[in-house]
Amino acid sequence: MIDRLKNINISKILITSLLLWILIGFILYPTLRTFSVSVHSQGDISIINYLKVLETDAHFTAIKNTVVLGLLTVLICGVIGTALAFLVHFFELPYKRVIDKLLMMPLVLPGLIIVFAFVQLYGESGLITKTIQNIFNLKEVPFKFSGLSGILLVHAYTQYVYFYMNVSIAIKHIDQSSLEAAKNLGASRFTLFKSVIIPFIKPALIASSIITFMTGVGSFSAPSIIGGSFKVMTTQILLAKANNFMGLAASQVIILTVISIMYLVVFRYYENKVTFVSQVKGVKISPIAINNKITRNVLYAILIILVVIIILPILTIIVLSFVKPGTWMVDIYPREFSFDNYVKIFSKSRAFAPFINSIAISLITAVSCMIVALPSSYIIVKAKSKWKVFIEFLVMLPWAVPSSAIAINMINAFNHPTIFTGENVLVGSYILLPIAYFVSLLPLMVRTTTISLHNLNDDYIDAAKSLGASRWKTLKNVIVPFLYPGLLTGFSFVIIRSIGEYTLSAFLYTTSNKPISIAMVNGIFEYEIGLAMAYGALVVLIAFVGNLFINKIRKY
Amino acid sequence: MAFVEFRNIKKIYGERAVCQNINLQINKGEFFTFLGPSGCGKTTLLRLLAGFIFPEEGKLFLNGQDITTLQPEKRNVGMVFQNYALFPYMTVYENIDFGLKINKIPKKEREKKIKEYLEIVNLEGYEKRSISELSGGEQQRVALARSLVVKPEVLLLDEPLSNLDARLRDKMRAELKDIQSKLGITTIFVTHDQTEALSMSDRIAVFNKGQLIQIGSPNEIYLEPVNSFVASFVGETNLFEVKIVGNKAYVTDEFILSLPKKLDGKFVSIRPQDVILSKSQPLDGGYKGIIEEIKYNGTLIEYTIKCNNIILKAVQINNYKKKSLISIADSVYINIDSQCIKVLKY
Ligand SMILES: Nc1ncnc2c1ncn2[C@@H]1O[C@H](COP(=O)(O)OP(=O)(O)O)[C@@H](O)[C@H]1O
Ligand SMILES: [Mg+2]
Repeated sequence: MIDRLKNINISKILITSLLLWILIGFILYPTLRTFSVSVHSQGDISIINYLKVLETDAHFTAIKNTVVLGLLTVLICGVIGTALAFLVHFFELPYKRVIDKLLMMPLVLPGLIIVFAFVQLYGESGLITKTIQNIFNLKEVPFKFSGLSGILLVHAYTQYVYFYMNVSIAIKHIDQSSLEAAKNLGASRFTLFKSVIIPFIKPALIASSIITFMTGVGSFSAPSIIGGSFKVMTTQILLAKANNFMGLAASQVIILTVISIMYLVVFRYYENKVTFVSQVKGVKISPIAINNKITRNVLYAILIILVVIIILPILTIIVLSFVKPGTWMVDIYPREFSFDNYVKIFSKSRAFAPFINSIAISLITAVSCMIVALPSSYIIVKAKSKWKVFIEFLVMLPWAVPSSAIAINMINAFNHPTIFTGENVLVGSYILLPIAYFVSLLPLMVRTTTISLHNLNDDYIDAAKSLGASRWKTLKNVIVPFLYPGLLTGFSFVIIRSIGEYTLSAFLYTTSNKPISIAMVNGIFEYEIGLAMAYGALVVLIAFVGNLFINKIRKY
Repeated sequence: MAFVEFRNIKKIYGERAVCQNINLQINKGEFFTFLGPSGCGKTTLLRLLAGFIFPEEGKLFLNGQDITTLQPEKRNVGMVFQNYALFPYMTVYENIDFGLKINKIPKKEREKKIKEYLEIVNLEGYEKRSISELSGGEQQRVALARSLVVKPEVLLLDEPLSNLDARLRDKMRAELKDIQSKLGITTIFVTHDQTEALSMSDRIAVFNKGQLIQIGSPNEIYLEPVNSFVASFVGETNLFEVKIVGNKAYVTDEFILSLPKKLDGKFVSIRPQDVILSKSQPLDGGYKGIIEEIKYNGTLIEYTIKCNNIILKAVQINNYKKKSLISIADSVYINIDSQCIKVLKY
């Protein structure tokens, strides 16, 4: 008995130490390292890097632009996402479930692919742009898809989903009785909205605004490809890195991280203030029927347009992936289609390598995320370890750090030998990219595992034991069935997020691990649109399969 | 004239009428109870009166005014919800203030009223509490105060005691009744618990499957049920399907009850307290039975007796003088006064 206790204790200490080693080595140390680089200049401590950022017009404008972009993204996505959530969940609607699923789709589509699809549709020589120009016989292009408005359009498409998702859940939790109680006390429609509906969805609004802001200021694909003269910090950081101004890059990373975390802290505080516990069991609201025929038809029309807008980019990618190479130069619409692009990817090793790289890196990332997330969430949820808070802080930290910042942290940390890497230099090696993916996606994995672990009430384990189940049986028949939906969901999400990842890749890829996103960008710049779109279509395919898989997983 | 009136009300959900032919008149100041099993349409009737839903047929009147199509916020009907529906993001004070604010009552006056009503519901000093810090009973009182403070013409209570534990329920029952009679507010109380209905109401309406079955004082409902449903739903009873020939009611061919006079009907109902048990044979014969089960519940002792293949329930007061001499498997004689047999048509 005592021996066994000893064994448990030793393995506990061993696992905790190993975990701390990994988290400190790959999350905390790189962050601190970047900070240290940012406050050094030619070997001395100095704030010259920060002064440079703040005093150079171009850099300072980038800071301003980043904040503006973040706030406008929140505003636009907030309006769109909230309106859609109400439209779908507050009113009676045909095909509600299908529309809901469709509206969630941008969650699994990599930003880079959306950017390219949008360029093909709304860019200077885009399909929609040219079509409109033709129909109305315009000399000039009707709109410009670039700069701030272009980025915002992409953000609106890719990020409304956070608001949509959270507000939808909140709407479902509005208590019908509370609405009726308010009416009963004489509340007008306006008061009802202001005093009952808004308080119910406010926590969701704030939570969504946090994730949207952080994604907005950390956005890289859209600004780097269609930003044009609208410079933001993420692109400036890449520029500094490309020119090997690591001190400058580091100080920009620190500023960007601080902006992101500041918003998080302020709004988290505010969120906690407006979040409430509802003690009694609420009565679910029943969707409101729209009886006015005109209003209803207008709503349906809006919905149909929305559905088209959402599907169009994906359709574009798929159609264009079949365009015969070298046939689509001057025409508005492509005419010749073939499987050539796919044949090329699967038969030419140079074209096939990125596909394999992405799959390999995604798998490495997902497996390592799972291995690290499992003990981490166990310690966070169940254990009474004194390291609990510290571990939770470390695993969630990358959530608030933009990808470009994580990339710079990796370079700063591993461009020289460290004890965490067995005295190896990782910059330039294959493994640095998967490590960066791992760091940036660990919070996602930990989230899903923690939720499952929360569901695994200790009573179940006790019940199993009291029914005579052995340790092994308990693990196999109780613990694993509870955890596996969460683990599988997290695993699939990590794969989906990794397969089309662009930001980290742009900073860290080498010839040995060039991923699909980089190959896609190269394809575009070499005018191999069809090839690029074929890569894109493969990513979309994998994302959909993954998503389908997630939907199939049994949830408790 | 009636203060609240349901006139020929019918409500349809989908294809199904969940209540129909409802005609009810409630007087000013009355404590009126809707009693019926779960799903019989009680909540639906309250929601119709409050204006959250509208009837397919019929009219609703409040204080002489036709309110059938009036929006809920225009009705001045106060409702306490089954789950209380307190706004979870507001304090106790803000919850009670909600309706007053909407009515644009000056702040000073609001403060005074809130204090007054918190006192009425025995929650002095709870102003700053958040809803999640309250017990079930306290939430219930806040909900009551919130409804009462705006001075509704009629107060609707939807199973207000159902979420409380037994002990608290008894206490709140008395308190609720007390507040109601102090304020003299016309009240419609919904419950599926017959004890609650009998002990609190001025009058009761019994519902079943969307139909109004009987209206009457608690005593009338208990003693003069109009049919077998009311007889068995309100209070314990021995209900038998019988064949009546002359002034004899045949439960079986062996178990025959004599009626006070020739009556027509299909059922008889005998309250357990009217089934008299004795160890020795009474003068007029009586039936012999075997005690199958005895249940003590403090004041009363309940017996289950098997007699000629039928099962009878009887109760006796559990007092010292009559200290029970009957135990399980004893044979006893059963005597039923013909005056205590209630004959029912259906
Ligand atoms: N919104 C609704 N849609 C359809 N059926 C409903 C709705 N509300 C209540 N019902 C049905 O109407 C009947 C009466 O319900 P209710 O008035 O809540 O009963 P009670 O309060 O007496 O338990 C039930 O059969 C219930 O299922
Ligand atoms: Mg009910």
